[in-house]
Parts: sequence; C-alpha cells; structure tokens
Amino acid sequence: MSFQRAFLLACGGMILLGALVNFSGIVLRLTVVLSYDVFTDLTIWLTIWGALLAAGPLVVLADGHVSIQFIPERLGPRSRTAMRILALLIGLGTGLVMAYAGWGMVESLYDRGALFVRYVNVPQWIVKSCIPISMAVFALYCLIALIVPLGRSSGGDAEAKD
Amino acid sequence: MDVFGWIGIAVLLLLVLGGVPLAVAFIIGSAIIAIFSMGVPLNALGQFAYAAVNSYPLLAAPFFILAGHLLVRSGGMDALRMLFQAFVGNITGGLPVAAIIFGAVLGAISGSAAACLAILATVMIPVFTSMKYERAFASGIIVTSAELGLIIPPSIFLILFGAFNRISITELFTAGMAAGILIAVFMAIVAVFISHRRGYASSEPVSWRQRREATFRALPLIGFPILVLGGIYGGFFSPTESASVAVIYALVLGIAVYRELDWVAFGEALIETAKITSVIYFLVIGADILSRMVGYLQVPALITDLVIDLDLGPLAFLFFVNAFLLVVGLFFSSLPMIITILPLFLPTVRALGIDPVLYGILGVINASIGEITPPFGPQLWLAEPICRVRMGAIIRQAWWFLLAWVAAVIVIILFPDIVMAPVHFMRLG
Repeated sequence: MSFQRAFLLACGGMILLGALVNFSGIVLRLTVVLSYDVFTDLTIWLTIWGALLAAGPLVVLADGHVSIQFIPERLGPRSRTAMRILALLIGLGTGLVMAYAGWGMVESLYDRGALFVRYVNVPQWIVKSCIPISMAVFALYCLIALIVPLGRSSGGDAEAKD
Repeated sequence: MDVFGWIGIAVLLLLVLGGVPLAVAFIIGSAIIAIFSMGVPLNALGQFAYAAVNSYPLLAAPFFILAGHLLVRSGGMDALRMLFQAFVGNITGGLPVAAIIFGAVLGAISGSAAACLAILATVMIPVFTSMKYERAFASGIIVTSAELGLIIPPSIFLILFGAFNRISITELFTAGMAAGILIAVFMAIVAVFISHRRGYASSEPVSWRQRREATFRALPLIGFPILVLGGIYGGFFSPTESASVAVIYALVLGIAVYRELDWVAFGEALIETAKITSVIYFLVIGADILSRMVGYLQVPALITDLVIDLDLGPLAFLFFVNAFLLVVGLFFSSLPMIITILPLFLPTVRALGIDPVLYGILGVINASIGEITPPFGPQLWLAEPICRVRMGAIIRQAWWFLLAWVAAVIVIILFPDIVMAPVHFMRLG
C-alpha cells in the first residue's frame, strides 16, 4: 500500500472513530441516561482532523479536488501542463498562507490559554491546530505534485531526444 | 464596492475557469477582499476556516457517506435487485421500473449517486441486456435512477444545504422523500411508455414463494432506511446521530449478515469516505469564507432588490430561479452549486415568503439534473466506462427521463403541497 493510501486510510479511520464515539454517546444517553458534551465535541474534532488532513493527498490524485476543467481540457498539452503547474503553484501559495494564518490563530490561543470548557477541559490550540497542520500538508502535497511530474516530464523529454 | 472587491471577484473567476480547485479559488478570491477591502487580519482566516467546519449537523454527511460505502461492499446488493425484479419484473416495462425503484432505495441506503450508479450498472445492465433491452436505454435509465440518491434521504446534498444555511435537515429529508417518490413515479411512467412502444419483453413470472424468499434476503437492507429515517422522525436520533447508527448497522450487515465486508473492502470504504469528506469539508471552508465576502459585498441584498424591482411574485420567482439554476447546473459542479449559488437567493426566498425547505428541494433537484447533463455531467463521465456505452448514446436515452425530472420540478412549483404537506404536518406536531 502506498504512503498516500495509508494516509487516507488513517484519515478515514479518524472519521470512523468519530462515528463510533458519537454512537457510544447515543448508547449512553439511551441506556443509562448519561450525556457528556465531550462525545459531541470529540466526534466533530476527529472528523475535522480526518477530513482536512486528507485534503493534501487528494492534490496528487486525478480529479481529487472539485475543479472546472472546461477550459483547460480544450487547450493543447503544453498549455494544459502550464495551467496545471499554475494551479499547483496557486494551491501551494494558498496552503502556505492558510497554514500561516492558522499558525497565528493557534499561537494566539496558546498564549491566551483558551480552553473548550467541557466536562474535561480541552486546550483550544490542540484542536484548532488541524488548520495549520492540514494546510501545511496540503502545501507540501502541492509541492510534491509540482516536483514529481516536472521530474517525469523532463525525463520524458530526455527519452524523446534519445 | 471598492477596487479590491472587483479584483477579488476577477481573481476568483479567473482561477475557477483556469481549473484551480474551487475551494482554493474561493479562498484566494475571498482572502483578497477580506484582507485588502475589509481589513480582516490574516489570523482571522484560520478562525473562519475552523468555524466553517465546526458543525455538528455537517457530520451527518461523512457518516452517511461511510455507511453507504460500507453497505455497497456488504454483499447485499444482489438481494435488493432480486427483490424488485421479483415484484415488478414480470410486467411490461417492469424491469426499468425495478431499476428505478432499486435506484430510489439504493439512494436511501447509500446517499451517494456515484455509488448508486456503480452498483446499479454492475448489477442491472447484465439483466437488461439478457432481456434484449438496448444497452444504451438501460444506461440512460440507470444514470438517471442513480441520481435519485441525491434527493431521497439521507441525501448528502440536503444535509449540506441544511447545515450550511441552518435549515432543518429533518424537514429537508421529509420534503426530499416526497420529491424523490414523485420523480421516481414520473420516471416509471416514462419507462413503461417507452417499453410498450419499443415492445421490450418482461421477465419470467415469479412465484410468491420466490418473492417471499427475495424479501427475506433483502429484509436487513430494507430495514436500513426504516432505521435511519424512523429514528429521525420518531424523535430517537438527530440526523447526525442516525448517521452514526447507520455506520454501525452497515458494519453489522457487512460482517454478520451478508458477510462480504472483508478487510480490503473495509479499507476501501474508509479511503473513499476520507476522499469525499475531505473534498466536501475543503469546499465548505472555501464556500464559507466566500459567503462572508458575498455578504460583505451585499450580493444577496442586491439580488433581493432586483427581484423586488422586477415585481416578481413567488411563483414567477420560483420559475425564474429554477430556470437559472437549471442552466447554471449545466456548467457548474453540483456540490459547489449547493453551497455557493443556492444561498445567494435565500434572502429573496424568505422576503417573498417562500419556504426555504421548498426552495432547497428544488435547488437540489436542479443541481442533480446538472450532474447528468452535458457539458459538466460528472455522472455521465462515470457512466461511460461503467456501462460501456458512449456518452452521446447514454444522453440520447437519458433525455426522456430527464424530462420527467423537469416535469417534477414544474409540478412541485405549481403544487408545492405535494412535497411540503408532510413538512407542514411535522411542524404541527
């Protein structure tokens, strides 16, 4: 199994875990009439982490993220490659900006000691660090997608010249 | 609007048309407006992103997606096909009707049109061809039937529309069920009519004993929508909770009842869920930031003013907006359409006294039609390799059934109580 699939599997596992936590909350509520807010929150947090971390590996998959390919598909191979590179560069920039913005948010939450006040208090910076981390992973995958096909295409060119 | 507002919109449009992922295009275009026009600090974008996905109702979408992926790998799909074929297969046009009912129930089970399409095509096309139906006709009916999963609860589109706009998902599900049944009935009428005209054969008569056996085998799967929807309407679970119950039920069916959910299938289900959920969540982040900017630029208010100036009544507005959404659906992906385009008209919908649930259902139907109409019909692209029929041939056959969908939209606009009566009844309770 490739690293990418293992990564996506782990993300899917987090979503499954979220569903199981939510189900446990329902069972507790319906059987022993106990209801803890952490069951709801943990479900949300696990799912957000799983969903956002998976955004990175999708960059390198064909049709990974939703985009409109009406114009790029009508271009020649060179222009299409140029558009793809541009899209990845923009994705890289967006990932970096959002990671930086997320980092600023997390830093400020950490400095202020902000908490989710629940049955068990949870520092907000831990939960919300999913934003900078997932956006950094997204930027990293954009970089990988930029480097790997470029390397391949230059190899392809070399073969063609041979 | 200042110059940065225009720059933000221009950049957004250029990136969307240039094939940049829509979520990225939404974030960049909105970030330009937020930072340079509104003076929002950069850190706030991180907070916006988190706030966008920090939603309990939104969780229903990934859980139903996971449940659907587990169910389609559970091994019970053939039992479901046999059930419908046993009951309606022996009348003329019965097989297409069975495919439509199969699609509708599969939609209620999986909540995913792509999963529906894959199962329907794999299971039904060999049956259609063995009965001397044209493969293109079978593909056309299967592509359109698979779309019923986008309307019939638990519909991911309805969950997204409800979660994003704070509209009751339970009410959307109720209206979605009525709308889905209406479309299925219209499609069945078209299917029977075409089958009669073309002289398609019916299948061998089935004994009541065989019917009983088919029912018994499919019973655990039939129990799925009953458990999910019964739990919601019975007041036992919220839609999100029923989605997590659905995950457990799907695991039980796959492991203990139909026993085809092995580790490989289980892993595949998790990977597919992660992929789709990530696409949805990433888009929700982009669309949420965009919607803040659209609100700042007062676009919904401008639309409301325009409609009020045009003096359109609710009925004329609904016809106008649905025609617009139908055209937009031809060129725009359905998922971003639901979270970016549909909310634009909500203030006008409310100002005209139209029920947002009715508007949501009509919008989702239009978005679903867009999934199977060229040039941007992602389901058509999927259908070509799965059904092994050229896209053009599928479209030529699918048109008849798409007309049934459009007819349903018109009927719902003219007689909204068809879908809204159960919602009104619920509200009384």
